[in-house]
Parts: sequence; structure tokens; C-alpha cells
Amino acid sequence: MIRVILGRLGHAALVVALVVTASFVLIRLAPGDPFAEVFADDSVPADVRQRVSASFGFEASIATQYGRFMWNAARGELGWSVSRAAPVRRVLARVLPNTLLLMGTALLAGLLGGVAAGAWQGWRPGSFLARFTDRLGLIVLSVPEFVLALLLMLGPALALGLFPLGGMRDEFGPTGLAGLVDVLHHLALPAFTLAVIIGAIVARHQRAAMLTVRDAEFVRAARAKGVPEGRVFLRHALRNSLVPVLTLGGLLLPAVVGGAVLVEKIFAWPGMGLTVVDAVLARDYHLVVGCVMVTSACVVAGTLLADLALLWADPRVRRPR
Amino acid sequence: MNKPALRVRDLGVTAGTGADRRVLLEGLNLSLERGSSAGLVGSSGAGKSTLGLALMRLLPEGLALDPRSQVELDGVDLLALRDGEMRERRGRRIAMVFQEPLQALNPSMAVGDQLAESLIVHGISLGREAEERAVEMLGKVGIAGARAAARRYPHEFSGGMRQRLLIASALLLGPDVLVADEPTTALDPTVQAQVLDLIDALRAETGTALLLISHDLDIVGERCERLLVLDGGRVVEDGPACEVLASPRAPATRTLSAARAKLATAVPAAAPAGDDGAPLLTVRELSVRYALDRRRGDFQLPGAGARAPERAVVHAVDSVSFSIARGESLGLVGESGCGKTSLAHAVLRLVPASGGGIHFDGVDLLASRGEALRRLRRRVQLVPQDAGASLTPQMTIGALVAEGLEVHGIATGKDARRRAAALLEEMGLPARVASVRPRELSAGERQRAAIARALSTGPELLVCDEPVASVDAPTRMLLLDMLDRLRIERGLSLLFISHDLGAVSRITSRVAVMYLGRIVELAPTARLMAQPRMPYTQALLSAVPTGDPAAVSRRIVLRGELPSAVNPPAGCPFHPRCPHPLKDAQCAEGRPPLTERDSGHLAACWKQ
Amino acid sequence: MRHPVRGTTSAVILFAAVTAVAVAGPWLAPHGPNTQLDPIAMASLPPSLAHPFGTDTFSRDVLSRVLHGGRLSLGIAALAVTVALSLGTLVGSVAARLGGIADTLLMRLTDAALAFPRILVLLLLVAASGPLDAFTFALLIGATGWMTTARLVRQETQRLLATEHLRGARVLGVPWPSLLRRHLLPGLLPTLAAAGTIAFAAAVPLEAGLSFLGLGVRPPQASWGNIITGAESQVVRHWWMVLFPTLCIVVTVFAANVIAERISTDRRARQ
Repeated sequence: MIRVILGRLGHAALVVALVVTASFVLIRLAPGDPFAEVFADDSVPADVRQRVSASFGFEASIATQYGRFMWNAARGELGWSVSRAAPVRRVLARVLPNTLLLMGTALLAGLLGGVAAGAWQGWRPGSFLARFTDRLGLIVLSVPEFVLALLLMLGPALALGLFPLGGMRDEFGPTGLAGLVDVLHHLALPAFTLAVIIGAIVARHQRAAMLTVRDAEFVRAARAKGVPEGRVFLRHALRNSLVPVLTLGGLLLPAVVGGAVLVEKIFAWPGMGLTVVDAVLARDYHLVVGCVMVTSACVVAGTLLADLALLWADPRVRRPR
Repeated sequence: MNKPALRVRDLGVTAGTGADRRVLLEGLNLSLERGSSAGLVGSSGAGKSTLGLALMRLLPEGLALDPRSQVELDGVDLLALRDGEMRERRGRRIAMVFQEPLQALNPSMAVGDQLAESLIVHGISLGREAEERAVEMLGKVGIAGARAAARRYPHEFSGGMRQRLLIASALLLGPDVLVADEPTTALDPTVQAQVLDLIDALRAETGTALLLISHDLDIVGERCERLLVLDGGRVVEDGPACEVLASPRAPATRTLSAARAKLATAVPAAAPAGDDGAPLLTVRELSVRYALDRRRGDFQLPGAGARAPERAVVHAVDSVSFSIARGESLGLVGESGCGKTSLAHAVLRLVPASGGGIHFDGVDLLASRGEALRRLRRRVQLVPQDAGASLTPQMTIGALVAEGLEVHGIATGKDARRRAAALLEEMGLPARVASVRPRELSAGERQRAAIARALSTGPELLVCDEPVASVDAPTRMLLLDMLDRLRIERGLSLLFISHDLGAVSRITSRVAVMYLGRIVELAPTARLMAQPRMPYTQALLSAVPTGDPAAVSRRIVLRGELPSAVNPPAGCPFHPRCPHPLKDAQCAEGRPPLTERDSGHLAACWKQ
Repeated sequence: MRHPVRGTTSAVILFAAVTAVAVAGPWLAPHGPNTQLDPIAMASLPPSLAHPFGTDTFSRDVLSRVLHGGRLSLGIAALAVTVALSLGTLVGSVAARLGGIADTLLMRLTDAALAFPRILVLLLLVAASGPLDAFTFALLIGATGWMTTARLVRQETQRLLATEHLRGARVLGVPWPSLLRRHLLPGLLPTLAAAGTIAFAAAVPLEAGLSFLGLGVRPPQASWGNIITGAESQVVRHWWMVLFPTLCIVVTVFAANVIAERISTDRRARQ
């Protein structure tokens, strides 16, 4: 068992290394040299220019540059952000927690809602609630997330004035406990947008899994033993239909993070997504690369957690024959 | 008061509504006395499983009970009960055992918990007491190390053990009636005998009446007092088992009975006349080993357990030697895991051999490559078990049969199609079959098409891998007759692999018995069936149901389970389960070689 | 028990209709996509009989822009799907056929590629290369989307290679090229269809999102995404600039999703 966990950790580390390498390659593939170009910009302080140039080694061979790049990435030295006039590391450290807050809330709500909705849709497919949420889910999946965000901003925020228009907190607003409430108030809409999308995806998979499980022989066998319907649903059907959904987890994260980018932009939520979009628009390459790498590394970490959860959930995986 | 445990009157089940309405069961009457046993037999599609589910009120969506139906369990009409009241009775008063044990157990719940669940939901015991009773029951059904086993999951047990788990679960609460729906169909004969004995033993303790549903007259004849025959949704015969078997009246019963009688008294195929020259196929010390890597999720073995090493080697075939003469038909029998399929695949060059040699008409089969191999393939063909799966779904039957001709340059285009049509006709298939796809044919027709395909290249050796296992009894007879006829007409040699001893005795002149990758006995068919030398063969033969209740007590029932092929026992592979091992430890050391006892009869046993 | 996806026929019809309209777009459009009708009087008009979809801030007929834009957006998606399918099928089938180390390596690579959120990769590429023409844009979208196809193709190819009918054909002596063509490929087609529709349903919103940000199809070229940007900050007042392109996207993606789901359900049922 320990071996399996270590194996997964090793795998994750390997993937992160590949992520960093790929970032390096992608940036090198671009015409010109975006990293070096940055230093034609006079606004960057000379000592910074000196330091970054030395640590990233722009004059050296490709192999050395790659080596330095990897080494820097491992140390957390990610360059200098021209648009923010600060080390990339510091910019990211400020915005990463915000994204984690947003993603965490959205994932929690979306997973719970999606599993519940999907399980119900699969268990009683003929019921009105099931058919309605099914159709709704499909429509939600077909609307691009930025449009969804726009609509939600229009409605509850702009038109009804129920929610703030964007950002994470009021500029000169309250602090302390009231400040926390303020953040939650700002969090509500963007998190809701993401949660709805996550919920729709999860519900579809959960529904498919449940439809398969409900016809399984062991469900019938449980009823034949005299097990009450509620327990049949929870302990026999639902429990076994969760496995495919957990397998989905790994694939879900990158998609959700991608969705978060546009949502953050529209709601002006100061997270990684907003940062990276603004960085692209400002042609701030160090920041762009830094964002992409860190985000991808986070995705890998999240996938690892999902994998470990799967190990717990499926005895066949935990103790294979 | 002597109320019958179960009384069914006028039971009817329909499927669909309006124009699509089909009657699955009609006017069914059945009476089951306390503690007695009744068997329900019918060919597939007759409605047997539907009856079982109807009795439990567990019919799937789309099926409905006829309102006139009455099902009385100990005097109470089950169909008039409310849902909650019916639920109370399920498991407690009437229980069911299903056909596929792996599917019928919750894969994410420990087996002990699944047993205890029955006790808990019926409010009989809770917590620790329920656990204890579950462990006790596990021990009673013969699962070793019951306490540890209770914490394991269903996939960690073999098929036979899983079925015991289901039986334990069903009989734990001592119900009045047990409905067993094809409980042993998925099991090997020796395991089948164990499981059926277990059901009888437990029933004797709890006084449970048994309704045994099966397609196999012999099993029912042995175990049940009464026999009912189902045909087209109606009961066409109902009486004491021995009477029905001795003098069947209904046409359906006669068909079923006739098929089994023919197989039982089959005259084995004649050995080829004269021995001209070298045998066609010679297998010498052939071994096939698979490397198992658990991390890759490779195939699972019974009894490997949770503590099996990460990587292991399966000795699927272990130093096997035999030969087949021209025009001869050799049978290969054994239970699941004995290696017969791997052996067949090695001969067909579908899997690599790890040792030994195979020679076909003097040519080294294992060393052939490329063009030479292709030429050899033309001469050795396969009749598969499941023709439906072996015929590419998107191709037409005609194209599939013609392919063999085209690939080997025997004929092309219109000529190939014409010859393919002729082959199909020879198999008794109408010409129009050439332009349809496999899914539009019945199982029997598909099997014949597969045979036509195998014959298309004009082979000299046909490897038949359980070719009649997936068709019903009447079709089985026809196919076997056809294969034998083809053998004689075309001078084919057959390597006939099967677990069905009846089929083997019909179509082979010599037969080899395999156990854990080795041949343990090899003899002319008639001699082997009459006087088996090896204890395993004796047990195997006695395990085959004969329809005679007296056979039950005479049967040699083996202990334990098939050991893991990853870790075969030292010495004679069979000795841990042998009913008569030698007194000294000889059976545990050294593998007994295959030695000739009487002319042509070889056995691998230390006993003389 | 069958649970058919309802309305598949309508989805197919819808999809075909949208595609037809998109292809025919330029001929159907009453005006050119960039024809400025009357910069002062005709700017930002709500829908009317003359202009069913209204006009935008540059007094261009939105209907015409949507039609022209549709052809571009769907064309980009189609090209992206072709690239993604080809790459994915190549990787997936090679991995399945070779097995062993090659398979492990390719799959690890696929896993790593999947770890990158697709939109971030595209942002990175756009940042690095500057403004893109539609063709390169489509290629990039396709190049970032092969992974799902690779997984699906690999899984299905592995399954097909292990089937009895493939084994039967090998025993018959059918040579490998023929084997793959006649016995493997027909079984793979449904998977390819599913992968293709899924890829399409993913590509359309991706293009729209990037164009919306101004990083995909750049004005004055029209795409469904950047017509929405045209509403600028007046999302409520200029609702028609958001609604109509959105409806087009939603309808297209919805239809594609329904079709993809139906193919997957059919495939599962048949197994």
C-alpha cells in the first residue's frame, strides 16, 4: 500500500517536471526570445535586470538555460514581473490563495451538488426532477463559462444589486469579521458560476454511473435480502457508483481551472486566472510562464489527492488479487 | 397444520404494453411442501428466471404481474402485501440465490458485513452479535479462516467460494423457501457437487424448502423430489422427479430428456483405421508460462489472496506431451484453470510457448515465421467457443468465410464468394446468410458459420475450443454430429477441448485429462469413462450429474479448492485434495510421470 | 434497461442546420461583416425588422457579423478537431499496439499534457507568438486537444485487439494490414465519432473565450466570441450583442454534446 502511494507521488513529481520542461520549450518555441526581450525595457531596475539575467543565463547554451530554468523553478525563483514591478514569486504568492479559495469553494459545492443531482437522475430517471435537472445540466454545459459569468453578473449583481460587481473585497470596506463576510459576499457569484459548471459535469458522470449500477445484480440481491430501499440506494448503489466519478476527478481539475480563468477575469477576482490574462495582455512573459507552471503544478497536486481518494474508495484497487 | 410452504396459483407475468405486449408466464401452478424440494426446468427463454423474481416481487421495470396471480407463502398472499410487509419477508421467509456470484455481491463491502446486513435490517441482531453470527455462518459453509475472511472483499474469493457466500447469506435467517436460480451453472463439475451438497446440508438443518431452477435435467433429477417443466411460459409437466425422467410426457420434456440421453449413451468416435506413418501433431514437453504483474491488473486466479507477491509466474501448461494421428480425434478435458485453453492457444501460435516443442507434419511449429507460418496456419484452424464473438460484427458472413480463401490465395473475388457460399450450404445454412451480419443469426447458426470459416482454408487439424458450450442441448447434438461427419469425410484430426464429458465421449476416440497444467491421465475414451485410474479423473467423472438421486451419496466429492497455478503444490499437483493419497509422503515429493498401465492407457499417479 | 438520450434526431438536425447556415453564411448575410452603415445614426441599434440582430457600436449589422463569424468560428473548430483527432488517434493507437514501455511512456506524456489547463497553454502560446491568423489559431487549439482522443482511442484499440474476432482473424492467417483495416478499424469508428464530437464541443467555447478576451480572432474579423466583446461594458444596454452569438454557441455545443452522449451510450449498450 505504501508502495502504491509512493508510486503515485513519484508519478506526480515526474509530471511536474514535465510541466516545467514543457513551459520552457513552449516559451523557446516562440519567435524571438520573449525572456530576453523583456530586458530591452528600461523601466526594469538595473540590478534586477542583472540578477535575473545571471540566474536565467541568457547568454549560455540551451542546455545550460534549461538546467538553470529547472533549478530556478525548484527554488521558486520565477523571474521578474514587468507589469507588476515585483518578483513573479511575490505576485503569485499574493494571488494563489485567492484562487484556491475560489476553487475550493466551487469544487466543494459543485461536487456535492453534482453527485446528489446525478445520483438522483440515475436512480429515478423518470421523475420530473431528474429530467428537469438533466436538461438543465446539458444546457449549462453548452454555455461557455464566460457567458455564464456575464449573465450572472448582469442579473443578481448589476440589475438586482444583490451582489457586488466584482473584485474580492470593497476597497475601503470593513475589516475583521465583517471583512470576512464581505469577502464571502464577493465570493458568492464567481464561486456559484464555477460550482454550477462543475456540478453539471459531475452530475452527468454520476448519472451514467448510477444508471449502470442500478441494474446490477447485487442491487437486486440486496433487495432480495430485505434491505430497505434507502439503504439499498446509499450503501449499495451510490457507494459503488462513486468510483467512476472519483476517476473523473483527475480529468476534472484542469478543465475547472481553465474555466476559472475566464470567470476570474469577468468578476475581477484577484486570482491566478485574472493575473495570467492581464499578464498576456501586457506581454509580461515571466509572469505568464510563472502562472502557468504554478497552476499546472497545483493541478497535478490536486489530481494526486483525487487518486489517493480513489485508492481508499475502491477495495479492488486497494487490495488487488 | 400442514400448509405448504409455498403455493402458487395462476401466476402470470407480461412484458410491455399495448401492441408490444408479450406473455412471459401464464397460468402457473406450483405447490411446495415444507422442507421439500422441487426443480423447475426449461430451455433458455422459457421464463424460469422470471418466475423466481416474480415470487420475490422483484420483477424489473416493464414487467407486470397478472392481477389474477396468487402467491401464498405459508398461507399469506405475498401479492396482497404492502411494500414494507413484503420487504420484511424477503430474506427472512423467502430467499434467493443468484446465478453469477460475483455480480450478486456488493464489490465495495466486506463479505462479513454483507452477511451481517441481513441480520441487522431484519432487526435480529446488531453490532458485535451480528458479526459473530456472520463469522459462524462463514465457517459453516466451509470457508477457511472465517474471521479473517469476513473482512475480505468479494473479488478476493474464487467462484465456488463466492457461491458459498451467497448460500450462507440466503440461508442465514432460516427462510421457509429458498429459490435457487441456476446456482451452479457458472461452476465446474467438482465445485458444483460441493455447492449442491452444501445447500442440502444447510436445508436439512433449517427445514427450508427448495425451488431449484435449472436448464439441466440431471442436476434437478438428483436433488429434487418433484420436477416441473416450463415451456413457453406454461408448466407442461409436473410430477415426482424420477417418474418424469423415466417417462416424460410433454414434448418439451421429451426433447430435453432425449438430448441428455443421447449424450450419455454416446458411442465414441471410431479411431482412425490403420496407423500410416508419423502422427500429424506431436507435442513434446510443452510449457506455457505467463508473467503476472499485479500492478497491470493481469488476470486473476482463484486463491491467490491479498498476500500474493507483486510479480508471479503462472505455469499455465507444464511439460505436456501428446500426439494426434491423422484423422484422429483427441479430447482434452479439465476444469477452469487446468490450462487446456492455453495449450490450444500455444498450438495455434496465439501465445508464445516457454518451453518444449510442437511439430506439425514434421515442421517445427514454434520456429516458423512469416510466410512459413502463414502456410502452416492454413492447415491448423480453430473452431471457437463463442462464435458470436469470433465473427467480426461489421463484416458479412460471406466476406468472413471468403476471407480465408483470399488470404491464402486459394481463390479470389467472385470465385471465392462462390466457394464460400458452397461451404455455408454444406453447413446447412441458406444462401441468403452470406449477405447478413453475425448479429442477425442465432447462436447455433453462428457456430456453423464459424465452422465454415475454419474449413475454408482446407485444414488438416481442427482445434475445437469448447465449441458447443454456448448452445443449448438439442443444437449441441446437431453440431457434434456435424463435426464428426466432417472429420470422417475430410479426414480431419480434431483436438477437442471441453469440460463437457458427454460431448467429449461422443466425438473423441482418445481423451487426456488435465489438472493444473499437466496431463494426469490419457486413454481411449471408452476405457477412461469406464475405468479411470487417476483419483482426480474418478472424482471428475463422478461429479457429472446423472439424474439419479442415488448418485448423490455415492459421489466422490473433493475437498477444498483448486490451488493457485502461481504456487502449485509440490509433488503430485493433486495430492492435497486426493481422497486416497499414499500412506508415506511419496505423493508430496516428486511429480509422478505419465506411465502406461494397460495398452494405450497412461496415468500420472504414484499408486499402481 | 435502455435509457435513450431523448431528442438525438433533433440534435442532429439542429447541428446540420447550424453547419449549413455557417457554410452558407456569406451568401445569406444581407450586409458585409464590416460594412459600416451609418456611423452616427445606425450605431448600437436594438433588433428591428431591418436588422433582426441589431447593430453594434461600429454600426455594423450584427446578423451579418454573426453569419460571417459563424463560418469562421465553426471553421476554426473543425480544423482544430481534425488536428486533435489525427494526433490523438496516432498516439492512442500506437500506444495500444506497441504496449509495454512505449505505451507507458506515451501515456505518461498524455497525463502530463492533460495536467495543463488547456486555456492556459493557449494563453502562453498566444503570449509568446503575438497576434495569430485564424489558421494558426485553429492549429494551436487542435494541438492542445489531442489528449482525450488519445486516451479514448488507446482504450478502445486495446479492447478491440483483445477481442475474439481479432484472434479468430489472426488464426485464419490474415496479415496485419488487412487485420487492422477490416477487423479493427470498423470497430473503432464509433469511438472516433464520439471523440470528434467531444472535441468539437470543447473547441467552440475555447475559441469563443479567447476571441472574447481579444486574444483569438482579432477585430475587425468577426467571430462569435468577439462580437460579444463588442458589447464592451454596456452588457445590459447592448444585450443583443451578447444574446445572439451566445445562442449560436449554445445551440451548436448543445447539439454536439447530445450527439456525443448518444454515441457513447450506444457503444456502452452494445458491449
